[in-house]
Amino acid sequence: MNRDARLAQYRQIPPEILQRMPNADLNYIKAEVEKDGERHLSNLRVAKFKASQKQRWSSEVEQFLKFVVIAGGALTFSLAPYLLATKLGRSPIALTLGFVGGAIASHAAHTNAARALVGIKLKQSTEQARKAILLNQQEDV
Amino acid sequence: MTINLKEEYYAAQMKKLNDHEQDHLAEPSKSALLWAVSLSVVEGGAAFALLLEAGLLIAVIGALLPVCLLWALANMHADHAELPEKLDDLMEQYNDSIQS
Repeated sequence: MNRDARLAQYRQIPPEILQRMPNADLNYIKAEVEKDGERHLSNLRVAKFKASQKQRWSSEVEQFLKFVVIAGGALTFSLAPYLLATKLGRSPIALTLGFVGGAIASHAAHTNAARALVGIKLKQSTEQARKAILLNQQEDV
Repeated sequence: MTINLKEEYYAAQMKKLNDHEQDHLAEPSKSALLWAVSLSVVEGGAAFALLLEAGLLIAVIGALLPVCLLWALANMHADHAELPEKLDDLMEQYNDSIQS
């Protein structure tokens, strides 16, 4: 009998029999069952992560993307300062400041949005795993 | 004292999950989300205000375009740069108990 099948059978031992077992054996079985549970979950999680993991970008691509975000965002984010600057008479200093501020704002928006999205994805994945464990438990126990 | 090995089995799984992933339940970071959303509103609002003379439809499209682009790029960055790193860390942690 292979290891997995044996460990699955351990879990089926009824409590009455467990109570009559010597403590040393009981502790051994308990430890084995716990280790098996951890192993099972770890296998599931690693498989899940491997399936959902996407190709990692090279640093060149990342640099390029950063440039696009900052340059493009500098334009669109400077619209708000631009509106103010036109109200105050188009001083070139105000427009330059708007452009620099736009670049910074764009970078901040991008990093914060990415961080929030990573957080949302990780949370979803963890909650899914939690629910799966609870569901298996309900069906099994 | 009654022992239920099935309960132990699932309790061990839940404990393992909490050991490595409990932090994720506090995500997403409120401040990051607030910054990202409010900056999106500023970006879209300014474009909307500038384009309002050209008509409502154009203004709405012009306001949504940069915001959508920002979030699409952020999503790609999350998928291809930040998540792989985090998942690698997690897989390393979980691999320890696969081998034992």
